[in-house]
Amino acid sequence: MNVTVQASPVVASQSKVGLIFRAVLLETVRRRELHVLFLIMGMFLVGALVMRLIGVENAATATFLLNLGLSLAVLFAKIITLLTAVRQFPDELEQRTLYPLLAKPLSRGQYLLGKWAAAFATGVVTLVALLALAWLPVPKMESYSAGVFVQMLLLEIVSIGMVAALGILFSLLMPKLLGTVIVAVLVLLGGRLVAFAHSHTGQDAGGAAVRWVAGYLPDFSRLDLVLRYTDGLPPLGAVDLLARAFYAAAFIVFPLALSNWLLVRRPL
Amino acid sequence: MRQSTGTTAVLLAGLLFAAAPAVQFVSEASGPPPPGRSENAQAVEQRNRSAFALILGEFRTNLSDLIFIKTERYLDSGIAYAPHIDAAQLETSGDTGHEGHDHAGHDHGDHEGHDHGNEPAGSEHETTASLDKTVATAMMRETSAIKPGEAKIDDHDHGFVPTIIRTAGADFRGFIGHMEREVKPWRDPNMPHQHTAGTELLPWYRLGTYSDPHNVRMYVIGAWWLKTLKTEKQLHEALKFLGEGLKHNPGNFQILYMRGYILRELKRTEEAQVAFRTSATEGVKVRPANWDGKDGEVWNLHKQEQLESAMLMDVLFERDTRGTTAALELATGYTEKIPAPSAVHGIEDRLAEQVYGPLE
Repeated sequence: MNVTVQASPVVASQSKVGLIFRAVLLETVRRRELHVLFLIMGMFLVGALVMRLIGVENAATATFLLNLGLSLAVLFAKIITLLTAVRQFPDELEQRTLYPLLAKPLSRGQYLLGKWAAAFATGVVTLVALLALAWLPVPKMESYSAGVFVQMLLLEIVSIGMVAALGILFSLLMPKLLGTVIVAVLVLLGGRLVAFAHSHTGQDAGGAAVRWVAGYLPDFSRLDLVLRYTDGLPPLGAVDLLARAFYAAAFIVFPLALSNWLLVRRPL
Repeated sequence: MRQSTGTTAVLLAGLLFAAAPAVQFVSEASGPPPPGRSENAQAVEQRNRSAFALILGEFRTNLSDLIFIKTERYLDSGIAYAPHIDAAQLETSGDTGHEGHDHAGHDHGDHEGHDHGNEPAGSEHETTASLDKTVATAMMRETSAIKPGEAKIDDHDHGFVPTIIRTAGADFRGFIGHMEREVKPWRDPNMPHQHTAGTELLPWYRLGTYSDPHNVRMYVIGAWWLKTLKTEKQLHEALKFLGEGLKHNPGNFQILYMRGYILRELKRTEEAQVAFRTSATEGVKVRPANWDGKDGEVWNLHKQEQLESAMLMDVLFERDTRGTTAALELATGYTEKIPAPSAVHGIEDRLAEQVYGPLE
């Protein structure tokens, strides 16, 4: 007697997304840019260990080292995430591997979710690894809040989700290189552009409207607590933290929904 | 069906996204973060002097430090000297200033007995010199008279300060080092420094305030440089610049202090006095009651000098408008809030002599 067991639709869906996820991760691990960034972080690690051996002159220098290491770790994790996310769709289209993939019982939404999840996971793993390389070797000569560290980690994780979502969206809208540059500019300078808009508006209704519209530019500095951590400041309040997490969620969900909408309508 | 699901998802996500800018108002409601260790002048000096900082060269934790390195380079004709920024003078601009800062003996423009010939206490010249000293370093004051495009050799002895690019004798790189000395701005460190006009720094200060609207020293020093141009148009520009600074840093006593300075230049004396008085009031609120005289994250010697100068200017304006007795009463109120000795205590003693006669 033959018994056929069929997986439930939800499990089947998850395994399809999981397959895409795993494929992207495997491909990313083999790429040179990941190795280069880990190499640079390794150089920082060596430098920090040497400083520790020689002796760090004063607490301000140790804090500066810590800030530098954490900032590098966060920046490199975002770079890896961006480079992973932005090449998924264009490369598959160029290499014609997209067609057999979509010929399978795989919806474009599942495909997109798998790609995003893989880019996100790559970024998170990179972030955790690099943060460890940055945090561990530096001597802690001043007090730092563990609460702020946890908040910093959480907000950086969601900001990586933002980078992945924006990277995928822009890769559907424009050539790969242009998309990479634009998202990179938004990541590095989005906060400055928003601050610029704020500094040139008045307190009247027009000014408030301009500030509201400028709020649609992704401001990654809102999710960056590295300086707050190394400055020894207390944790954010619950409302402030939740507001920032909501902000990141908005910049993940909308780009992904829009990407799905664009991909469904795009002739391949 | 699939297409309508996708459209519905976009619309729902769009509603979520539409509310995203509200977050900035939540953050604004909680106010700017308190000053941290990175803003402590002593910490900045320590990390700038560290071996790691020398190895990394210009790399700093924040843009404002980078801009101050740029400003120092501008004043030195683009030549990169080794970090030698003194903690007390970092509040304004880089200089090969003295180590440490003796508050009791520090020259506030010497209201107590500086020899200006027959000038009365609190004269225009004396107070301008005093105000300049609380905002600008010696290098800034020297270079303020240089016009854009001109250069001036500094004949003061600043001691030997090495350049970042090494001299030929200490450079193992051979022709590469020679090329770098030819291509990049470089001057033998044994030769006197060559200064250029500080007003060319203004775009950097503007950039500094764009990147960080809470960077108060950029507003104060940028306004000071605008003031040195000595035209009414630039004074009004300075007022506008300070107005923007106050918008982002409401009630900041240093910006109010500089505003009083500019209004005084414009001969708007009533408004100037209001600015100095508000500056003094706000400064007293921020000043830690048990300040130990050392540079810290919240208060330092420069801020103390600026607060005392704001109080002094308010007293002098009060003397000129409402008379000596009213000025003495105001000065007495201020001296209760700050420890002796200070310029305010000095003016209080002189006013008391005028009102009650000399002490026997």
